[in-house]
Amino acid sequence: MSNSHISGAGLGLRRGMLDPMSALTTNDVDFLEVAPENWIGVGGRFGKAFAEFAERFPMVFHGLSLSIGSPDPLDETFVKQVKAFMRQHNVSLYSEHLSYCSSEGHMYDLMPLPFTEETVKRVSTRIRTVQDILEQPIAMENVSSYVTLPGQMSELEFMNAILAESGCTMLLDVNNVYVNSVNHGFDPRHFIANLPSACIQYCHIAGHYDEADDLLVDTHGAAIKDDVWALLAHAYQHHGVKPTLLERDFNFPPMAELLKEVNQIKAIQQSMVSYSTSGDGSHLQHEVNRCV
Amino acid sequence: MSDAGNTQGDALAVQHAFADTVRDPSARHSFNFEARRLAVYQELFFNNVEGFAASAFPVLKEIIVATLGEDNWLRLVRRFMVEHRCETPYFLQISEEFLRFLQHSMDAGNSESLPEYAWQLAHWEWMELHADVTPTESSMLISTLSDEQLLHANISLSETAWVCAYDYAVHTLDAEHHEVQAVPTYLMVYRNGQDDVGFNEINALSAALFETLRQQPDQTAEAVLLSLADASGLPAQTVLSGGVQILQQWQRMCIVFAHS
Repeated sequence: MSNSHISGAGLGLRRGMLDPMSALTTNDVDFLEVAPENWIGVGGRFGKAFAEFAERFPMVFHGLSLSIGSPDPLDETFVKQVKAFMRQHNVSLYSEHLSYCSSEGHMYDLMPLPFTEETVKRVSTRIRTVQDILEQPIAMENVSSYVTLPGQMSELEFMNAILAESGCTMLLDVNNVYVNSVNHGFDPRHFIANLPSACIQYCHIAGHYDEADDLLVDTHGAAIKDDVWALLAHAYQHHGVKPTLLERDFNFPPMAELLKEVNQIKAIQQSMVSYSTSGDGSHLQHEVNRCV
Repeated sequence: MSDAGNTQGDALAVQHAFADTVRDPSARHSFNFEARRLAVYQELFFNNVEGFAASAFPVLKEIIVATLGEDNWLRLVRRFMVEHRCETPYFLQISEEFLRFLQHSMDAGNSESLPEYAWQLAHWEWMELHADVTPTESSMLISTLSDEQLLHANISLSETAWVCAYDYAVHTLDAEHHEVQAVPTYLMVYRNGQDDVGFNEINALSAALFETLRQQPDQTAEAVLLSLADASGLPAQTVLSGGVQILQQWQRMCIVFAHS
């Protein structure tokens, strides 16, 4: 299926949810998101199921192992394998995390980066290498974090500097903005409002876990909180309606319940139609040249 | 928190130190990471890796927990995180990294408390997963042939059939049956055209036939069986008549394919 233009509301495809998801159609979800690391080189029943989903739905790849900020060398062989897999399944968008998940070997989860000018330069160089191999921009996601590492920049300054320096686009994870705003004490609305609209390719929304009043953990294992829904509407108001994906990795509820959240995304998108045409004009004009 | 200055080396030093302490909470570093927040990472990463190991090696975990206690299992996972350098970006291949770690660890004598069969059991558990997901190029066509036709047909092995030789009956192990004597065991694992994975315990001669087919691809069944008779010292007629029955069965199970 051709999918250069995803739109609407999407859902992540997980191996553990193949059965309940096989009954879905594009009337239920507009696109699927997939971690290529879970499917590259996989044959048998899983390989066949994957190929069927790729035929039936527009798909975006959301990687986990690129480790763009790693102190280890960039794994260019891996990037080429992702590229081949994108071509094979006609997938045109690849997003990854602005973080690192390896240091002298893979660790299989995301660690935050120090927000410094040096990190901006180093990571931007790596992003450009990936984009040169892929022959297209990659969308970088703002990640949730639970510690503050030494560094002189704010997360917003860091994100914007990466976008400007590397020419990448952005996957705006609204839940991660919310989680970080609590964990690091900033205004999530200000963060979102000050991102360049034209760079935002799509959004993520998910549930999180309240570890303490000042410490939230991005588990993807719970229903989405009202504050996060409000933040998604806020993002649409500022940047126009963006394709948005519901992330759910653990504690899977019945499909009907997940679809309720997917439908809530669709409802917010529809209620915003007026915003997406008028929008925050001056802001859009100011940023529009950067990511296109 | 401004321990780091603003040079390239400092930002990378922060990243190295952070990763080291996430891997190994006892690792020393000179940065002031808030303990409560660092603990979130230490716990998330450990639980994630433990989850991969537990789902790939449920029987190994069960036996270690039942015989040596859960702490022993958790220490093994921690040592995997600290001592082994994982190269693969692919999640299903973490089990292969764990296998390599286990082999290295047992070879180096660092796992005295683990049963001697631990690596072979883990290999068997990995094999079942591998059979399920390994990709194939060719399609699986079953032809119906008489014994005589089969003998003169060229035989090729399926890409999704394996025979593993173990020193223990690893397929019979679990928490209740973990004290076993060494006994040579040949296990055949296969995935058929319907993508179902199965396994059989086979005898030494069948294992030798499989190995001969692997080493001498695309020869006639007759040539392969005669070469097996030669190597085993068994009468040719016995090997031919027994062998053709085995090959007929393997054909029906998509383990071998006959091409006339």
